[in-house]
Amino acid sequence: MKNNNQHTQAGFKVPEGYFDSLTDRVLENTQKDEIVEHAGFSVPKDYFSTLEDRILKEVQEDEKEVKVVTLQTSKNNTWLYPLLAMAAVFIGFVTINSLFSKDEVTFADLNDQELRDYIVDVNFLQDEESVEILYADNSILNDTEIEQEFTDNELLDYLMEDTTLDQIIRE
Amino acid sequence: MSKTPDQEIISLILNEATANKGFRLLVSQYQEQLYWQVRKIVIVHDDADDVLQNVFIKIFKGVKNFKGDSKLSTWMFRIAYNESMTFLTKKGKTLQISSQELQDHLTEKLEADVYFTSDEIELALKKALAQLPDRQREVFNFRYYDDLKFKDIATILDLSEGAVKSTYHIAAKKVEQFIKVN
Repeated sequence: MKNNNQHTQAGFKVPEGYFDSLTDRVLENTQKDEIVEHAGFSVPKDYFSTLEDRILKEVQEDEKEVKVVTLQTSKNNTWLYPLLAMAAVFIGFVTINSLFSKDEVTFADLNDQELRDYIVDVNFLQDEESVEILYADNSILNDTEIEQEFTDNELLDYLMEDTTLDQIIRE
Repeated sequence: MSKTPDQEIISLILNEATANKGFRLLVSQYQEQLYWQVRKIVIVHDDADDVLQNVFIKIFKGVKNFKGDSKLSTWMFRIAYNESMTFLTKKGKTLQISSQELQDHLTEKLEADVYFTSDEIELALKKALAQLPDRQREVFNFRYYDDLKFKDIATILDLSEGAVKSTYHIAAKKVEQFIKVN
């Protein structure tokens, strides 16, 4: 490489392959400096240099945790069977009881305020699926005759002036 | 540092002998992008770190079934978005406050956060964003900070491209007005 030769002639030397990897290393460092701050946020020093190892360790630990362990079938556990039988009878009793129970919660049991709070809390109308369900059998758009034509720009201005998508849908 | 093509990373992961190498590549290539995406949603560094660990566990479990219908990065952004929103919902419930109150609370804490710039404009922008509904804030973040295409944002948020465009314009207008007034 020309640069290497020039430096060698001037009495200086560089490690072999130094200039081959220099661009990558310089760019890497530049990017690191830029990325330390993003949208006003910053991270603790060396956070990203240790992150990779921590993530891989975490993933490996998670894998170990979900490994299936076979049940012990030792003869010493014979005392367990009567207990399991009792538990099965109890679960059966509860299940049968709940099947014939008339304490079912229906939509009518909810009061208006609870429904209103739920819709406000979950931002119900932001969810397209919910809007579709809500207006599934509503023919409001079919019954409405639009007498005045308007352009896309006028529509966009209207939408921008309005406060939220929620309000538009509610209107 | 040269970027390994996504397809090559996936091929490495799908091969049992090279799975670890593939996943290491995937983590090193996307950890920063995903971190910043999560951080912009959950605001606090420690929370972002926790959420990011979960995001990569989900990615690790799901990447073997990744069908390639969208870009790998888009698929991962979507996981990161869902995990971040789930985290915020849980946090809101723990603190017994609404989504809006939580945003106000997080933004208030920003001023004292050592991992946040003292730049007044950034702080004003964060305060403006906190006033937006979740969806508008997300669209704005993806477009303004991450420079994502409307089409990719639509895929991540499961919306139509038109809806994303109009949401962004509404959000940008509101941010502008908030900053002017305040």
